[in-house]
This record gives sequence, C-alpha cells and structure tokens, in this order.
Amino acid sequence: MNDIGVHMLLFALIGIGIIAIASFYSEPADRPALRTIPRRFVVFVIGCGILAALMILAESTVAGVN
Amino acid sequence: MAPEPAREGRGNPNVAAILTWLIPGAGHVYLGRPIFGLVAFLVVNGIFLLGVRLSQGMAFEFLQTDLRSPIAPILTPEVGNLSGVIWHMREYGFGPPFPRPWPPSIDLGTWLTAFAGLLNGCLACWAHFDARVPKGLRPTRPSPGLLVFAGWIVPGLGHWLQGRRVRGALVFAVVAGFVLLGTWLAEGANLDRERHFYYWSGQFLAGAPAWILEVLHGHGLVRSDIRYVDAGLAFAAVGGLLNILAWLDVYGVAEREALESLVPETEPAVVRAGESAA
Repeated sequence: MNDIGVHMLLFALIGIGIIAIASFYSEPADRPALRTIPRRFVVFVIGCGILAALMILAESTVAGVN
Repeated sequence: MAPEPAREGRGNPNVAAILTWLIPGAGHVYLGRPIFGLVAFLVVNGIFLLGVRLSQGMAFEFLQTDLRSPIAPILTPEVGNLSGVIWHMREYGFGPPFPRPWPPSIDLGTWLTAFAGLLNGCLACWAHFDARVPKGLRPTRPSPGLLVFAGWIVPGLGHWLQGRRVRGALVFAVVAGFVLLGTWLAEGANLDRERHFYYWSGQFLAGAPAWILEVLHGHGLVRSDIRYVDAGLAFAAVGGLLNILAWLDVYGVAEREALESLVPETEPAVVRAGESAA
C-alpha cells in the first residue's frame, strides 16, 4: 500500500483512456464526444469505487482467507 | 412518382462473413468473386503456413499446462482463421508431454500465425460489406474492411483516412501511449508471447506500436522482480483491446459512406474520379 499514489495515478490514466475511446465510439462528432469525457469519467470512477468497496467488503466477510 | 425499390445485395452479409471466418476467401466465392476469394485464401493461408513452419507448430505450446484445453485458442488472434486454428490444433496440439527447446524463429512464426488470423478477420468485414452492395453497383469509397485493416496496422489510421484526423490522432495517442507506458512499467516483459500468452494477444491488437516495440525490446531475460509488471501488462493489453472499439467506429462510418457512394459499375473512371473529388 506504500505506493497507493502510483496506483491511483495509473488507474486515473487507464480510466481516461478507456473513457476517451468509449466516448468516441458512442458519439459520432468529435466535439460532443470530448465534452462528455469529464461526466463519463466521474461515473466511471464512482462505479469502480463502488465495485472496489464491495470487493473489500466481501474480502473481509464471506470471502475472507486467513 | 413512386420511390425506387431498394435493390438487394449480392448475398447474405452474415453468411459471407461466417464463410470467410471458416475458410479464408470463401465469403467472396459465395458472393461471385472467385478470383478475389482465391487470392485471399492463398494470402491468408500462405502467411499462416509460413508461420507454422517457422514455429514448427509450437505456438500453443507457449501455454502453461493448466491453461491448455481444446478451446484455449479461442482467445488468440489465430481464431480469426478458424479452419487454420482447427487444423493447427489437430496437427500439432500442445506438443509432446515433455518440454523441448523452441526453434530460433518461433517468435516470427507465431507472429505470422496471429497476423493471418486478424487479416482474415478484416477480410470477413470486407465480405460482409460486399454482400450488401447491390449487383451492378460499386462503391467509390474504400471498403470498410480495408479501413479496419489500416486502423489495426496503425491505430487511428482508419479514422485519418476517413478525414477524421483529430479522432485518429487521439486514438493513436491512447492506444500507442498505453502500449508504450505498459512496456515501460513492465520493463519489456510484456513483449514476449511465451511469457504472457494472453496479454500478448491483447496487445497484438494495437498493431505496429506493439510490434515495433517487440522487435526493439522484446524477448529479453527477466533477472529480477519487476515492481509494476501487472500494471504494465494491463496497460498494454487494454491499449490493444481499446483499438477494437476504434475499429468498430471506423467500420460504422465507412459502411455508411461506402453505401452512399454507390455508382454503376459501368460508369467511366473519369466521371467517378470527378464525382468523388466533388
């Protein structure tokens, strides 16, 4: 966990790339596609955060390994 | 005036694409273009067989024992040439039950078998579109399959050739940037199919950036733990997988533009050139 900052940075980078290409795929025009990136990124981060929280919860309860 | 009835295509697009997937060129033979089909068959299988010869049929022996199963090749680029991969599995499978040295040219050989698979995927796109073109007409715009092929070789090139240059440049920056960053994080350990069989399949989709890096820095020895190797593998593979979304974007626009550009096959070339320039 010492390098959590690096992992967060890498997560942000890969998230921006995924969101950018996904925006281009779903929007035919460049300008609207670029404009939707911030909103999509926030949704992506929140969704991943919920998923991570569920995984941590499962790890510490039903899927815990001693 | 009654609207002109829609003209039927040359065949069923799904049948044409699936036939090409099963046997390279078969889709075009089905569409009445036997010479194109024969050339496609010879090119795809020529590259594939050259790859098999150079790798001595050991491509799937890269897989660790616990990952070996009859359906293991489904996640490899070779699956784009289904008859080839079935033949390869029947003829060579996973090799003998003991380890043996790799032939010197195995990396080039397995690269060629993977290339043949994705090349046939582009031909399947091509056949799918050709089936939708009515008889007696031809598009003046490039085939979607050709632009998808361009977008595979150089990420963003398909967009660039469509005139969508900003988008093409951004696709290139994301895909090539991810492969480059992944390679840096993994210290080049990602550039080896033997070491990371399925991750390699993902980054292979990124085209020339991944291939050039593999030639320059691939297949090196790993002498110590690589701290961010997992992140590096993820970046490089995600870069390749994101290129698939870029191809789908290219294909959709190319298909629409090509179907809107149909002209009679008998139209003189000079007139066609003038029209396309306008």
